[in-house]
Amino acid sequence: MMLEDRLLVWKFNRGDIGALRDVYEKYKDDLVTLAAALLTDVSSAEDVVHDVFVSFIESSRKFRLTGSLKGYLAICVANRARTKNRSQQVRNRVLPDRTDTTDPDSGNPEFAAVFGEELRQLGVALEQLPYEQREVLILRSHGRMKFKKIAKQQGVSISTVQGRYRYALDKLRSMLNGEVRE
Amino acid sequence: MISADNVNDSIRKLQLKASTDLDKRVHDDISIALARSQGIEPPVTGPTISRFITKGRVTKFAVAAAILIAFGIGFSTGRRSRPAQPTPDSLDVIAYTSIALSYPTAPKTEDSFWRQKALAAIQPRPHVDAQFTKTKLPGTYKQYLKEKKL
Repeated sequence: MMLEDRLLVWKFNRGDIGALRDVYEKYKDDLVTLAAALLTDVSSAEDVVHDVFVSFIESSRKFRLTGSLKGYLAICVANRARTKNRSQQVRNRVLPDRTDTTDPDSGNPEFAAVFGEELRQLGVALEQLPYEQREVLILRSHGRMKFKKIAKQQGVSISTVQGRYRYALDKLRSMLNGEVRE
Repeated sequence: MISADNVNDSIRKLQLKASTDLDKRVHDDISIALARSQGIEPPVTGPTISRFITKGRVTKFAVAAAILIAFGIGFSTGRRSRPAQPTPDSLDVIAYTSIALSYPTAPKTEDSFWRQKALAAIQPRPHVDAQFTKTKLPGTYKQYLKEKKL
């Protein structure tokens, strides 16, 4: 797995942009899922993944892989998703009427529906988590990233990240048990 | 129904598939980048003559043949050309007339003198061109003195 990634990156560094197709085909579903879980919106998630690959194409010569390729792409997606989330928050603050019309408990029905009936409840619960907590939970549980790496990516201490993870997990458990506190 | 205990497992089960629209967008961008990377050469504004020559194999041979033919023609023309003909006497007269004209005050009897001068100027002068080295000059002088004594 790792060797294959290194070979793809080596080809990519040598100007073989076609190797990027293989990278995309290999990780596209994981990255879209990660972005969708972070943003709770599938179309925004696809935009984020697209942006990540566009910037990846532009960095073909100077890109150097130090860790895993999947981890690198996951961090890129998380960074873009955070930026997008911030801009959405700013937009909601500027146009508060748009948010008033939606029921905060109902969430985004389209987003929850894409995961199927079994995981729909989880999708709804994820939407209600604060973004920072959701990000830590998704990167840790879905991206299988270490707390240290998440802390570096978020620019906070490891204990803060661990705290966010614990809070997110507790909140999610309580929501899934029907004990929604907020 | 998801139990609260296996939240982590459930999160790991979350799986979406990238839409065909996203596939198309990304693959199109990759194709564009690929085309751009292959076309690194600057845009051709018009083929220059050197580029035109070096590109075609037939053109290369044609240009080489043309150069050889031109060289051959030049060489053969040079070989066949005749050596300079001695100027006829009539021309000499004209030439000396012009010399005489340049010295209108000179008497006609000196015409032969000026002619001799002009001829002497044309003639090669080996004694002038001869270079005496520092070692040869005293030797020559000594030889001259010996001959004088004898």
